[in-house]
Amino acid sequence: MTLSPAAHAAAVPVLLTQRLRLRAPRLADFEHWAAFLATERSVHEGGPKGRQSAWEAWAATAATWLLKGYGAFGVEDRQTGAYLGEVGIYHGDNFPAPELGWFVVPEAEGKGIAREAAQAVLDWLREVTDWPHVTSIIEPANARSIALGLRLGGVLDTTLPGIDPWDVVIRHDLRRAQG
Amino acid sequence: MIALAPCPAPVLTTERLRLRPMVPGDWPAYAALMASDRACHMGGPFDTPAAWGLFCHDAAGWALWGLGALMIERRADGVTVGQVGISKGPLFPETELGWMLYAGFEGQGFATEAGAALRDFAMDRVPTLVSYVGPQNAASAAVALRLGAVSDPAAPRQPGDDEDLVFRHARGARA
Repeated sequence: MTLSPAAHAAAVPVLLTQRLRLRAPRLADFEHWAAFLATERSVHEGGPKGRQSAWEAWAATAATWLLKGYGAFGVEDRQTGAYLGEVGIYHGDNFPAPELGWFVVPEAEGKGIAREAAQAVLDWLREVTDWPHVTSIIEPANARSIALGLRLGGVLDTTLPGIDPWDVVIRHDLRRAQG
Repeated sequence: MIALAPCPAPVLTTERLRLRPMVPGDWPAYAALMASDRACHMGGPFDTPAAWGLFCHDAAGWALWGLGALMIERRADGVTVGQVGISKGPLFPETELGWMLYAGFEGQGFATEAGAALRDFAMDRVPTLVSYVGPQNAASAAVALRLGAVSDPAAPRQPGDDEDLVFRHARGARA
């Protein structure tokens, strides 16, 4: 029987990239998320929101690993250990399918952090799942996230459902075409 | 799907009950309860997004601090009759022991039996343990008292829950 948070963290894979370390969410990450949701930066995530709503959202992030076996990673600077954001798979009750999403702290913006982390997550999904694709579901006004989804090699797919009817859905293929 | 290490939540067995980790299949019944008048003593009824947040909070505790919620199954037939859970985190002044039963399973001592098992499991892992009970929730207050908990009017409440009754659990209490 495994009981401690440390043991759980060990069960979530660690993904390493050139600059980043992706690891299990931990409680201290919540404060970064709450700070983000308290500001206008979170307008594309339904914010600004208070701590109660921030906790509901973030608890879902942590719970996804337990309930589904996949989830989002806390992203750290490999050198300093500094928290840079959260990237990985989200799956709320109203999501049509698992979603690839990302969030970075203000200091980490514009440095390709989300792209580097999301690429690592896509590589991991190719390795451990048999999913044909994963989608990113993005509010139409969130131009930066749409641009990132496309830079990752994703394609706009109007045939796949979003969460809200107006959502932009970007499909990331995980399997090479046969033949 | 993805083969991940086992859920860090335990299974606890009592005379009549099996307390087991939450699974995605528990969500529909949980959401229905949280949307109903039964949730009024818990600060509800809750809309679906809020209920999902609570459901995830209940499960996530096992990953974040090693204690969380377990579903209550009746051993005789495997029916899920409710949930018992430990809550803490940034929004809680103290670690909480809570319980709820689905409609039709009240009055049989299930909450007390499950609450005692999780209390005993959690007691050595937390500095203090209390139960917050809505001021009109006589049935839940009765469970707290049956568990041997003692009313603590001076205990801190969550913001906005100033009317809550607080029952403090102690090691070696009865039930």
